[in-house]
Amino acid sequence: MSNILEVRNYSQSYGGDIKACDDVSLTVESGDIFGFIGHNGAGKSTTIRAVVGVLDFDEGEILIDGHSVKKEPMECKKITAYIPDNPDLYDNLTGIQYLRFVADVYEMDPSERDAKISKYADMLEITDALGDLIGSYSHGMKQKVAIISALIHSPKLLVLDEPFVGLDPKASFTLKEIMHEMCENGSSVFFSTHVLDVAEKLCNKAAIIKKGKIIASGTMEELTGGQSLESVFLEAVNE
Amino acid sequence: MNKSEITLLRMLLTASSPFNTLKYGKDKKKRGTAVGQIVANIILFLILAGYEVATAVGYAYNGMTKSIAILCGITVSVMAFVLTFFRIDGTLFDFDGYDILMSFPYKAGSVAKCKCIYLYVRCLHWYLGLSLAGMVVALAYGGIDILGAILWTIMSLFLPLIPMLAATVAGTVITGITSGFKNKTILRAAASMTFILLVFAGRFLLEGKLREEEPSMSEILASMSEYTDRIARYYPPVKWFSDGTVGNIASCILLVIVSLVLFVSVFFVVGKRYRELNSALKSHSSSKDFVMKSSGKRSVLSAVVFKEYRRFMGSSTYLVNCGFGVVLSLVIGIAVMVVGFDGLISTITGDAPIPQGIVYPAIPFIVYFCTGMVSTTTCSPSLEGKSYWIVQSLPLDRKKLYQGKLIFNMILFAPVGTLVTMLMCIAAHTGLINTLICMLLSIALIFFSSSWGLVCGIRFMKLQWESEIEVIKQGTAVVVYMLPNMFVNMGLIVLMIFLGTKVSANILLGGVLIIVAALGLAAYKRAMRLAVIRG
Repeated sequence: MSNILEVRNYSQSYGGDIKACDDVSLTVESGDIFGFIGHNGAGKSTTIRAVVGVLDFDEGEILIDGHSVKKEPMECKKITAYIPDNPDLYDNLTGIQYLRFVADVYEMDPSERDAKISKYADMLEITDALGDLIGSYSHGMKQKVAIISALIHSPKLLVLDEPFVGLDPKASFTLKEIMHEMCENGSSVFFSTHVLDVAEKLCNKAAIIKKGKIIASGTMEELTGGQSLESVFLEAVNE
Repeated sequence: MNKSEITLLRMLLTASSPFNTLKYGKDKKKRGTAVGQIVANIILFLILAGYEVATAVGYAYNGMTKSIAILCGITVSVMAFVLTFFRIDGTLFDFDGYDILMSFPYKAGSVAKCKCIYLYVRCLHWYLGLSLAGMVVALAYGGIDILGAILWTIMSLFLPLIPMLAATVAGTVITGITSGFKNKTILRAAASMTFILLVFAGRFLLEGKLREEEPSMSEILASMSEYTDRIARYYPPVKWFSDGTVGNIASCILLVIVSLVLFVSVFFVVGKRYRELNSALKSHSSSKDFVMKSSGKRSVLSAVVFKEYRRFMGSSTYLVNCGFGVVLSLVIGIAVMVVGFDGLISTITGDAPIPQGIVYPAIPFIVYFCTGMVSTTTCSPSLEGKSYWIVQSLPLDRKKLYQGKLIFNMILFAPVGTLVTMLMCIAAHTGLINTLICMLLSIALIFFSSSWGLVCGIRFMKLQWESEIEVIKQGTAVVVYMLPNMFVNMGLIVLMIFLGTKVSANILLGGVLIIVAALGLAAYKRAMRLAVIRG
C-alpha cells in the first residue's frame, strides 16, 4: 500500500523553548483509518493544522501522497479535505451557497457537484435546511455542512479534528459508514478524537500523543495487545 | 485574478452582504439589522458625497475649478489609507474561518490578495461617492470636458489602491514585527497607534513646510490652487489623477499601471509571509506555571467591568480603534502644556485668523472629538459574538451587564477627558469656575456618548461575524452612533463659539451642561429599556 500521509520528525515550538510538538513521526497508508489520540493540549490539533497546511512549522517534513506540504502546498490541498474541531463556516451564507463555493474551489462539474451534495445531504439528513443561513444552524448542523463540504470532491486524505463532537447518533453512524466507504475506495482518514471506544472500533491504526511527543503508535492490535484502548491510553499517559 | 480567486472574492462579498441576510434570513431581528445597515450606508454615502459637492462648489465659486481634482484625489487617498489601516489587521489577520479557508487549494498570497480586494470593494462606494461628486461639480463648472469625466471615472477606481497598499504594508510590517512577542496584542496596538501618530505628525510637518514657503494666510487664500498643487507634488498619484482629468491620457495610464504593478508586488511579498504571520498570531502556548492565589470577592458590576477590560485588552483591533482616542487626548493634553492653548488652536486650524479667546467655550467639545467619536459601548454588545451564551446563561440581570459595559467606557474615557479639558482650560487661563464647569461638561458628554453608544450597540447588535472589524469599524451600530455624534459636535463647536461672543461663557456652559446631562440620562433610560427588550 502507498503512503498517503507521512509526518517525519515534525516539531513546532511556541515562543522559544516551549515545544507544542516534538519530533512527531507517523505514517498513514492508503485505506487506513488512523486515530490520533491524546489529552487536551497534547498537540493533536497543532499537528493536524500543520498537516493540512494551515499552520507553518519549524522542523521536519510532512508529505501528502509524496508532495511536501511546505514546498507544494497546492498539490497537497487539492487531494486533502479538512474539518476543524469548531467549524467556523460563513454564517451569512446559506448551506447550499457554502457547499457550491467549496465545489467551485475544487473546480467540480456542476452536475457532479449537485449530485454529491444531494447524496451526502440526504445521508446526513440536512437537505431541507440547505436553503437557510448557516448562522441559524445548530453546532451539529454546521458540522454536517462541514462534513459534506469535505466529502464532495472525493479527497484522497480526509483530516478531521474531533469530528463526532455535536453530531447526533444517526449522523455519527453515517459518518463512520462514510469513512469506511472512503477507505474501501482507496482514500484514507486521519482524525483526532477523545472518544476511545469509537477509535478502537473504527480505526485500523492509531497513535497516542503526550506533551507533543508520540508515545505509542501502530496498528490497533499492536497498540492494544488484547487490552482495551482505554486502559492502554491511561497506562501510557500516566507513565 | 484567476477563476478560483474570483470565486473566493465573490463568496467573501456575499458572506458579508446584508442583502444575502434579507434574501435568505428568516429571523426578523437580523433582517431588521440588515435593513438598518443598508439605510445607514446610504445616509453615510449621501453625507460624504454632499460634503464633497459642497467643498468642490466652494472651490469652483472661488475660481479654483482646476483644483477640484486634486482636492478629490487627496480626500480619497487619505480616506483609503485611514480606512484600510484601521481595518487591515482584522481583515488579513486573526479572522475566524482562517483554518478552513487556508485548507482549500489556494496559495497564501491569493487569500491575502482576495481579502484586500474584498476590503477595497467594500469601501469602493465611499471612494466613488467622494470622487464622482467632485467630478460632477468640475464638469458643471467647466473644469473638465467629457473625455476628462470618462478618465476621471476610470481613475477613481484605481486612485484608492496605492494608499490602500501603503496601509496594508504598514499593517503587515507591524504585525510581522510584533507577532513574535509574548504580549503581541498590546505591542501591535501600541505600534499601530504610534504609526498613526507619526502620520499625523508628518501631516502637520508637511503642512508647516508648505506654509513656510507661503507664510501669509492671505497669500495662501489668494493662490489656493497653487497650494493644492504643492500638496500633489508630494504625492505623485494625485498629480497623475489631476493631469488625467484634463485629458492627459499618459498620466491616466501611469496611475493605472503603477497601481497595478504595486498591487502585484505587494501581494507577492505579503503572500510569502502570510501563512507564517498568521501561524505566529494564532499559535499560543499554554502556561504551565499557574499558581492559585486568593482573590477578594467582586461585585457583579465590577466583575462585568473587569470582563470588559479583559476583552478590550485582548484584541489589538479593539484596542487600536477604541483606545486611540485616549492616546490622542493625552497627546493633545501634553501638546497644550508645551505649545500653549493658542499654539494648539493655530496648529489645528492651520493658522486660520480666529481670535483664540472665542474658542474657550468650545473646549469640552474639542476634547470630545477625541473621547466621544468612538465608544466601546457601540461594539461591545456585538463583540460578545459566539460567547453570548455565557452571559445569557448566567444569573446576570441584563441591565447590570449593560451598566457594566457603560461603566467601562466611562472609566476608559472620563478620567482622560476630564484631565485634558482641565489642562486646556489651565493653558487657556479660563478661570476656576469656568474650568470646573468645562470638566463637568466633559464628564456629561462622555456619559452621553456611553449611553447613546449603548442604545446603538443594543439596537444594532450583530453576534455573527467573521472578523471583529465587522462590528468594531463597519458595524451599523458604529455608523449610526458616529455620524450624528460627529456632525452635531461640529455644529456645537461653531454654536458655542458664536454664542460665546453673545452670552457669558459660564452661563452658556452651565446651560449646555444641563442639556447634555439630560440627553445622557434619556439615552441611558432608553438603553436600559432596550437591554430588557432586546439584550
